[in-house]
Amino acid sequence: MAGVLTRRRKSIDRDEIPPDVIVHDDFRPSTAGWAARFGVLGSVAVLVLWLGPVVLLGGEEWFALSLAAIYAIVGLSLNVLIGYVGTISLGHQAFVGIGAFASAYVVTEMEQPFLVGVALAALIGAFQAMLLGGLALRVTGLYFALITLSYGLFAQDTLFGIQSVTGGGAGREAPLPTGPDNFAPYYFICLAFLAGVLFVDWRMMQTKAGRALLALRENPRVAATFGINVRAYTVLGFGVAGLFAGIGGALLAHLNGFVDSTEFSFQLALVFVLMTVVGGLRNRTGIIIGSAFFALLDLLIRKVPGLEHRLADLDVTIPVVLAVAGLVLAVLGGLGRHWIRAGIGVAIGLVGILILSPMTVPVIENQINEFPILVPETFALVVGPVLLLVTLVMYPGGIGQQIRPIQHWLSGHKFDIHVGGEADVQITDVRA
Amino acid sequence: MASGGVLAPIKTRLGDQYALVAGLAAALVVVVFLFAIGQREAIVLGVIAGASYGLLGLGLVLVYKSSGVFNFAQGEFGTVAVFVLYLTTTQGIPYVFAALIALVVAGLLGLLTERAVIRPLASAPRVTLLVATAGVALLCIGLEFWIGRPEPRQVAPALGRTDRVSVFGIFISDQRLLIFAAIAVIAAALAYFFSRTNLGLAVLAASQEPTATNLVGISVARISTLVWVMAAVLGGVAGVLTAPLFGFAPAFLTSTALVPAFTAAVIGGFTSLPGAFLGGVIVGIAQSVASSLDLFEDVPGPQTASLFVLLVLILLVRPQGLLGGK
Repeated sequence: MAGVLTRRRKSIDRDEIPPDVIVHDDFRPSTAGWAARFGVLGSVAVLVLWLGPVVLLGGEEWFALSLAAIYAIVGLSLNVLIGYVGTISLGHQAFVGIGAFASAYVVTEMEQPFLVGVALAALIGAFQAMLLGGLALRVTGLYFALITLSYGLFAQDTLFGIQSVTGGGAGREAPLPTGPDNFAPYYFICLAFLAGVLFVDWRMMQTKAGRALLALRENPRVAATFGINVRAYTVLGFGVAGLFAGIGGALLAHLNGFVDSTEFSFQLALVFVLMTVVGGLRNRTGIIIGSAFFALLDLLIRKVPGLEHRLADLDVTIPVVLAVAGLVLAVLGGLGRHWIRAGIGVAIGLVGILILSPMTVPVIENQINEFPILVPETFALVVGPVLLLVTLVMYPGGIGQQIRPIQHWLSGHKFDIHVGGEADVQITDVRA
Repeated sequence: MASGGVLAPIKTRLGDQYALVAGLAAALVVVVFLFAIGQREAIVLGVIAGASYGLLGLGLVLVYKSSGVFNFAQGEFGTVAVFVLYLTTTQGIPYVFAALIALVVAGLLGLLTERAVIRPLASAPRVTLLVATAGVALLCIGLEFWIGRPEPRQVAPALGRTDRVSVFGIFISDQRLLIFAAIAVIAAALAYFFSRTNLGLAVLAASQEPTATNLVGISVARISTLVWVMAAVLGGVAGVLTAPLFGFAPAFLTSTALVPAFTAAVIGGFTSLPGAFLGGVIVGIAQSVASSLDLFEDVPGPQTASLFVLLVLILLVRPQGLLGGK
């Protein structure tokens, strides 16, 4: 027990040099070294700005790419709550949705320009988040998670159903600022906002406010004894998260051209949590990669040659493999009198058989010619949670943990594959 | 319940008693008031709906009481069981055996969850475990969509007759009565388990002092397995009993009953098994009254709104719930 507890050392600031690489402190890259580093950074920029969207995707997928940038903004917003303030939000679809409806209302009803809509959406987003943050001062941990969950559903059903503001079930229009169906410039607008959000996040974490947030995340009581104003900084953290989410929501509204309440369901909130945790808390680059991955999953399946076809094959292969593997495990477990192992084997086998059964036996009506094909949406629903569970159980730092060595190298250090091990990461804190 | 009370100072125990009495008195006043303004049907409908929430809430309380985890996968344990029930009954297997198979599969799912997700994260923060159980729920939902497509289905009830009992002019189907009976039996059995059996005491010990429990020779890991299997079977019971009432679709329990069940458990104090049932009834009445009162006619989504208000109020005013110890 004690070994498990002490294994993960906590570092105070992710950006500080971990103690085990201080040996390399005198190291300065040569001119060629700097050239290589800037070369890599430059190629990433070229890939994102031109090569990817124009050449690789043929200039046809601006919508999906804009969505990826917006998801990244939402991921960074959620990161402020989970990663910095240390409270979980299961109702983030409310944060985003309020921004979306606010901007749509300002642009269509009040006939203000797009940028005013985004600005007001950000402010309203920050305001509602700060109200919720006030609640977080009284109710913490698991119970607060419950409140956010309930708040998300409340927003979806009640707030977004108010006829005069949101248009009720009919929804509200939100025109694309760059003209109808002209998504290419909009992608760059989204990127600009993402850059702005990144800058604010980065600056905030370099200042007193950022250090205060990290301290109170570790332990609010200890932070208070060091003179940190726990209330003010918690509410500030919520405000920043709401600000980012409001921007993301406004951009999302104008990307879709339309907002209605059914978009902002509980499952969207779970996807947000998923992509942030898989991306890696407190690692901005990791979160951007994770969010973009989930936003582009559909695109990935459509664009990679033969993948869609192969998934259709997997539709039969996976359950057969599961069934056989489960059976083997069950028999082995039974022979060795490991009854729990045998039970797990039976469970795995049953999952395989269950997936197979509607295909082999037409028990489910209306499925004469449409037995379950692993369609992209279902694929995302299955792959996403698996990634989340693998991340939580085996790689608590997510994608961010994997890319830490590269980040470390890019910032002018010697390449060290061991940077950012378990010492550097911790999912979240006990505040229950 | 049985555990905390003995060691708690007498003063707080008295305070808790007064709070409980005051709460029940307030509830009584509300009920009388609702009767006076002619909302009798709302009360009956609320109690009926609340029973399903309470049934799901029992499983949540069981897991929380014994491992301090909020189990977001509880609803999906039930939904998976319902899918199995559907697949087996449509294959012509008799209902009783089909239901048994469904519960066994739910139990195995609980076993798998505990082994693959909960145990590796045993020393992780509770909030991480919450996210992990939500991940399990999402995975189940994904598999259900894969197998079953997002279309509503019907599954046979255990008891078919619907016009046997009538209260205030509202017929209560036998299936509903079965849910009440199931709650009573399960809550009583669990209360007995936790207060009168060695295994139940071991479960409580493992949750309060895992290291010491290990040292006296009780395997905390096995206790954890046992608890998750029990919780999953309870979820299965909740699913199998409630699915025939409304029909089912992938994720139906999670989307309709999980948050009310959590609210019910919070109201009941999250460690009290009868409290989960009481909380379920309160949530049910609040929801049905909110949707039938003229006062809230213009509020969209009155059921969700009442749930949110109820949850925030109870957590601000009395975070330990009505029947929970400190």
